[in-house]
Amino acid sequence: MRRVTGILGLVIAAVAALFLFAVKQEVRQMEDELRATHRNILAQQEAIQVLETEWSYLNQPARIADLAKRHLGLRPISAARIVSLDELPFRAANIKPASKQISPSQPSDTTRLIPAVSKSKARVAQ
Amino acid sequence: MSQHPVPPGRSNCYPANDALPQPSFTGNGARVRVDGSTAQALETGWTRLLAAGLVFALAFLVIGGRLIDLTVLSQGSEPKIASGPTAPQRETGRADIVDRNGVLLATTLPTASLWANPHQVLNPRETATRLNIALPELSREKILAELTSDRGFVWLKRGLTPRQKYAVNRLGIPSLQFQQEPRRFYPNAALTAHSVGFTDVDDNGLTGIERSFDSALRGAVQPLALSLDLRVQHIMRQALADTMAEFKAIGAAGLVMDVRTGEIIAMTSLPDFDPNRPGDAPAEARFNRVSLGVYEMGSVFKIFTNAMALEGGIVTLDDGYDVSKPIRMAGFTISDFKAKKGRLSIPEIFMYSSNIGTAQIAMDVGTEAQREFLARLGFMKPSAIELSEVGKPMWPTPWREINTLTISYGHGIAVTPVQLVSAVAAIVNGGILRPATLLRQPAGTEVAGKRVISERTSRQMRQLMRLVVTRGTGRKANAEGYMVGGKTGTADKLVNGRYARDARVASFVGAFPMTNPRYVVFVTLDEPKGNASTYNYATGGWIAAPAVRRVVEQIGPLLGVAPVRTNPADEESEILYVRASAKAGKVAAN
Repeated sequence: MRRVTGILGLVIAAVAALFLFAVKQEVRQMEDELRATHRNILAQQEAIQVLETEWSYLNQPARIADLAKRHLGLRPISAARIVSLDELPFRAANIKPASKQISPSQPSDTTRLIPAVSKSKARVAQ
Repeated sequence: MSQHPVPPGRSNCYPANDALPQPSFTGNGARVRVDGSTAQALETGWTRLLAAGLVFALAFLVIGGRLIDLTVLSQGSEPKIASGPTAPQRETGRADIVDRNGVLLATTLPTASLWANPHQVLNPRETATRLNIALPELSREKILAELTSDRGFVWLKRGLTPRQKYAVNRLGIPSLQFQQEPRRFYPNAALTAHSVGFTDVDDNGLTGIERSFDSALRGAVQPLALSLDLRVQHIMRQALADTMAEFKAIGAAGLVMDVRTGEIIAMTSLPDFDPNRPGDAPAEARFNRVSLGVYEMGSVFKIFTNAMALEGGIVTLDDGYDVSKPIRMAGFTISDFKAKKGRLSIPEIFMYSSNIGTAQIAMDVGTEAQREFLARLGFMKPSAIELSEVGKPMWPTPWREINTLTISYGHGIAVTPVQLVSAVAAIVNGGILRPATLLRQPAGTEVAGKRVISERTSRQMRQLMRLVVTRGTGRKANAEGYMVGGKTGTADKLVNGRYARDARVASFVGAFPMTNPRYVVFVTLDEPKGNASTYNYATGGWIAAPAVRRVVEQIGPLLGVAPVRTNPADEESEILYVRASAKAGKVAAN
């Protein structure tokens, strides 16, 4: 009886030791992974910072202005072109909408949009 | 010991009066009696066992108690809040600087610096030759001199780009070493050079914000947000650079300030420099004309003379002065740039920029009141702006009556542009003087200020300044839709103690929209030369005012200022003008 207990104790101790070793090994591995991830994060952050600096460098207003002038033909907006909503004249009721003049064979973007808009309105109404 | 009689069956280790029970070994049925030395030995063993058992029992009790405490009492379950390992933060040793919209103005990047230990270099001649191919900017002779020196450590090149580092690595020379070093970069180069400043090679702030916030930047991780708007900054710099080139000026300065907070939205001083290579620029380019340079501002000071007289109740807008004769005093002659005849009303004196009229206003106000008023506007002490490059204003001591007259139109007192703009902001914003700041203020906060003039005077001054642009000397500043108001100024420069007729400072300070001012815009040109397009005039109205118009037209939509469409004849300032000139005319007819 005593011998059986002793052997059982030894077996339990061995199993526990093995288990402990396995867990410890796993933790060590995970810590290594964590360290590697941290290193990686730092490297990525550094790379992001370098890219952000480059982005800022490439977005210098003088450069953008020059590119816009050469390729887009845009100009600064004049105050006369900015109007508030209540400055807009009302559309007279008897004037037919401009979209009617476009031939049906070439539907414009606006005419194609109209059914979609009315459909969504109907859904809202429900 | 021998004196004590020891009773039989007792160990002599115990005193006689010990109350321990007599051990008696009794088995079942059989009775064993041990006597003598055997009994003594057994008894000793028994007591020792007991003591040891007690100690062990106590130890197990403590362990058991602690186990119960750990598992049941203190932390019976898993912790409620998971605490994971926190991600590392990039540490550069110096925080970034960004503009009010978060655009990067200054950042720190890790760079590699190349060094070598000359004692370990096997073949200096070959190393120098090959290094010269990888880094052509390093001369072969210089590298060779460094590598053959007797030191144990030499820098070959600091702050290599990744491409250069790759090129050096490709050489495969084992004795060359890299040292990681953080380096400051300014991606927007010269655009904010004077306000942001620059650092030395060891990352110590030398000028601008880099210097004044040196210690704060060192400790921080969060970027420092400035009040500058890079887009506005660009528009201002472009307008100044174009104007400078057109009129062959030697320098220019420009400022845009939010009148509600004192935030500086744009600050430009030309000529400027690249803060990534500050050593290449002449000292003159590093000079900040906006905050360090002090200038006699000329007629823009008439704003303060008029505000002072109106605030003190010395004159009303319906008063007028005779401006036909120059004033002679103490060897000076005060005359007008364009002589007018007869009596002019206060609005007319202001919009035609009459020195004679303004000097008479100042005479009526008096020397002491003038000095006190200018001190209240902050002209007697350096600006509180967060830069170490701050100029000290200059004024005459003693302040004689002749000084009062000349200071009324901006001669004899020299201030920095940033002081001037702060004061003008206070004049137009309803009368509150706020310190100029380069740091972004949280949106919607009310910045504390000091009242310097009343709401009523501020309103009258806005009308007068609007008149200058609609009818007076500043017509070229009229940006359609933005209701610009302002004042022109042309000051003769002091050259060797005398005012030079051909060296001038032409400026314009304006605010918009005049109905409810949001921003003050200031432009000044140093020694512009008039050309055919300006009929050879080099005055503030001809040179600086158009630059202000260009700036306002572009920044108005950017800063969300809604354009106003009004009939010019309906403007308050116009009504004021018609009324005042009618009254003055009546008085003159009397």
